[in-house]
Amino acid sequence: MKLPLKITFALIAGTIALLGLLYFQHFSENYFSKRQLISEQIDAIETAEKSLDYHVLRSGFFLYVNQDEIIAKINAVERIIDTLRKNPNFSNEHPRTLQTLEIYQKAFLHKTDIIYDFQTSNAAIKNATMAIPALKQEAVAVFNTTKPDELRFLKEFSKLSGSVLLTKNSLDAQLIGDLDQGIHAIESYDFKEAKKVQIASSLIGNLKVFRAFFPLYKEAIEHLEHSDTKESLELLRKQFMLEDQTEFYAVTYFSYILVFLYISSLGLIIYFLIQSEIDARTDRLTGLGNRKAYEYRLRRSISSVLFLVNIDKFKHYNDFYGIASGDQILIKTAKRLKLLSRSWHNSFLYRLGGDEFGIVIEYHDHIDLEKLGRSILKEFQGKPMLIEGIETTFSITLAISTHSPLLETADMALKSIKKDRIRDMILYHEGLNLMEVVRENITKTRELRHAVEHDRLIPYFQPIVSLHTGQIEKYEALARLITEEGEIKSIFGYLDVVKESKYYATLTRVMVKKSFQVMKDLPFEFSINLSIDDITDHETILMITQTLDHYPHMASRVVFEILESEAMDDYTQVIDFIRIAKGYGCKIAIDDFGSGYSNFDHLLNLDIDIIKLDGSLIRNLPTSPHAVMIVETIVGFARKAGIKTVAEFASDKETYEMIKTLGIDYAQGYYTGRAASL
Amino acid sequence: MAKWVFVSLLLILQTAVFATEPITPIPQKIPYNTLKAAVGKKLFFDPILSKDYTVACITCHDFQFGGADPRVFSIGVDRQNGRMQSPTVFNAVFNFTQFWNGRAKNLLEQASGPMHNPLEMGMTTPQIEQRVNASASYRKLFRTISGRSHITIGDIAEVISEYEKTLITPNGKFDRFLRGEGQLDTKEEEGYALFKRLGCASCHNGVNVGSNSFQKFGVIVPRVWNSSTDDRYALTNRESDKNVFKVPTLRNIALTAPYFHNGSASNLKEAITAMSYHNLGIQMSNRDIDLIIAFLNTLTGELPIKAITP
Repeated sequence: MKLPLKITFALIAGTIALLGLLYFQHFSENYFSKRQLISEQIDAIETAEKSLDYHVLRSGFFLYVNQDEIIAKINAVERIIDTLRKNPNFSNEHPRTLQTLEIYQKAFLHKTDIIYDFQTSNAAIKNATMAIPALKQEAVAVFNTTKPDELRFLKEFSKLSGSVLLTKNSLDAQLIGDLDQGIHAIESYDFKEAKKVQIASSLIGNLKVFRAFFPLYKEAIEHLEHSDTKESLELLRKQFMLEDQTEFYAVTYFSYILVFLYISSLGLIIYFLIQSEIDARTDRLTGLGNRKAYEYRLRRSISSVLFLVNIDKFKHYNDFYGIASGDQILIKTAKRLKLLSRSWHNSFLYRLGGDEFGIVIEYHDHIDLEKLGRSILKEFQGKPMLIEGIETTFSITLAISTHSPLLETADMALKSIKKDRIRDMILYHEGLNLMEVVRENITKTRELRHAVEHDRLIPYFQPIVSLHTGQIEKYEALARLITEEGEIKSIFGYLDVVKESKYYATLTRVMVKKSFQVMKDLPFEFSINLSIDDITDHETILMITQTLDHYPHMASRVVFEILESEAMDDYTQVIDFIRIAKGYGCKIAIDDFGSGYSNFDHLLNLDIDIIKLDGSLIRNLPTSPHAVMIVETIVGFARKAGIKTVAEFASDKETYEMIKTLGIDYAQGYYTGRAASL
Repeated sequence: MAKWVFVSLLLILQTAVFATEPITPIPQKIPYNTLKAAVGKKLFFDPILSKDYTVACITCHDFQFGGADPRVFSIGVDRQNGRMQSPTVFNAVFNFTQFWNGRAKNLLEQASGPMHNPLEMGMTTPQIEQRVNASASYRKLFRTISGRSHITIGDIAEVISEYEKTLITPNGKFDRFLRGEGQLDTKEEEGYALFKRLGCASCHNGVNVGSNSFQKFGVIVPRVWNSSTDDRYALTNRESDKNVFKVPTLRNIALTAPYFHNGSASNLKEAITAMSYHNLGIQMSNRDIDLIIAFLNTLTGELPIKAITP
């Protein structure tokens, strides 16, 4: 996944979590305030109903009571019920509680009816119980206690008056029987006087009212005491809590989801971080760990061994067949190495550079490093890869190191054997002294750069003496470098550095330019060294032809020495150059002939004028008959082909004499003259 | 500080004084919506709510007769006689229920009742709505209230009931006495004491001196039951609910003759005589009746002049 996408993803996850958090806060606050409100209203119903009960009972006790209070409380309960029902939070989110509320409302409506009944019976009973003592007072004044029947009447009256009060206050229906008897007894009296008749009938009327309304009164009071409303209100509260709990669970679950979301967004970020780290440590092409991964691995290891594998001439393949093919080679190499290293215990494979792979294993004394190394080499020897449909065999070079820093030491060892291509495997050890080489190379590079930048590269000329005349007939231009301290040094020691640097072409061009300048007024032939790299460098060739155009009269005195020891893979460019040079009238020499790459066939193909015998052959002439034989062969061949021969390294008289005897045409060396400024 | 304590004590004392009395004064004002009340007033006087344009609310709730009807039974559309004596509209807002048998819970429920009663205004809901919607001025007025262009029966009942909230009569002599602002004369005071002692206050109490419970007319000496009477029985079909009515208010009672659900008492004396006989089982002396009348006269309040002037 791409980085912006990852960031977006993480941001979205974070935003969702944040929004979720805000929503949750709002949600829970809302939930608790809603819950609080509903709960308060249920409480308010209970309070109002209790207050209602109080006022109802109070109206039973006291004589004159303002019954508006009762009505006000009934209205209060109804109003709260109404408010609750109109509260969308309540009616929508608590359907079951709403049902219970409806049950309560019905019960309360019934209770209201009972209260109305109570009011009706209460007024009648109250007035009767109030009227009877008042009548008694009147009766005491009117009735004559000396008359036995009137006295009896008054006694009955007293008794009845008492039992009315008793019945009302005890709410005992059994006492009604006594009352009935009393009423019956009173009715039997037949008074003549109007006042007495009126009192008696009034008493009977009130008693009958009491008698008639008492059951209703009692029933209403009992009903109020055991009202359904309390039960259904309790049910309402329970139902609300139950339903509320489900909502509370929703709140809880929501918070769980939120926590989950939060953790997963964290996890996502961690995953991305790990993924980025893995990506950063992975080579995209081969899928192997890269240099970074290798370094990370090494940091955690105590003693490791590195097998550094380099594909030979990879750059060449890459240039020649294209990058796509190069990639193919790398992928297939990686695959082979992976298969191989898989069988090694606890091994790790990395791609460490363009064409370099590294296998790291833990190092133990009993590991046979060379054996393992050979098994790697064997994996490539004679086993071609199919690249772009063509079977191609690659060779590899291998360096093994157990010395820290592993990569540096292995790399140095690898370079040391790559240079001369003698071996394909090297085991680094301190005796190789490669570190010193590296340090020297760094110094030399600096000196070289200084010389180039300050125009301190100059040609020296070494005389070449004709063995026929004993006279100096020509010179070879040799590059010298003037150090910062003014010391003049042979370029020879710098050649390796020069080849690795970007200054190689510069060196050649400086030599061409300055040699021509020195030689333009001198009567000698002079030779300039060119490597295959020079010949294939279009700009260098252009510069040479331009110089030749500039000094047309000098062309016949110029010899180009082409280095034989370079791998001459692409002969066409060499042949082209020789043709151009010869067109100007220049001569061509093959340098260091006999150094190992010599090929007579080449000499015939190339239109050569001069062969320069390699220093190693000449040096051995006094001691090695073998060398003598080779030189004789070359000289013989050259003479037949009409090619002049030059012996290098004529360092002493003995060698010089031998050269002369062998029929070589020219000699150069310390004996005949050192290189010097002209 | 001491001053405040004194004032608070005085207030508590005053409430305590009120609390002992079974009657409370009418408040000076109760909250209502001015706009709705204004439209309600217009409708209250408007006969378009009756089938033949002969009856308006005001017809049977005449402000000149204490907000009630001086006729025994009101005459409705097509000159039909009603069956119940029209109760006063004054202070009706304080009634615990409406109509003689309390079949309406409140004014809002009550307001549309007479319009639909075939003996009173004789209309149907669609007719009422069509009538009022046909009037451009009502449409305009109602739009300012509800924001809707269509007027419903609910809107009409609402504005009328809102208007009825303005029809209260505070500051009667008795209320001023209750508030400690004035004295009753001896007769009036004796009348009030008698009113309580005889047991009238058992049913006639509260702000409206009644209208907070249902009671039987003829508790002690039963009265003949008339099946065409709209009593509680008409609603509940319970034998005990025969001749049970909402206790009528005694506010402005001196102005609202004739009395009782059937208008059977043409003056206060007749009404007191009948009520004390049937419900208390006594025959009151003329003197006692006079005392009660003297007390009842103190229940006449200040008419809301602005509200009742068309």
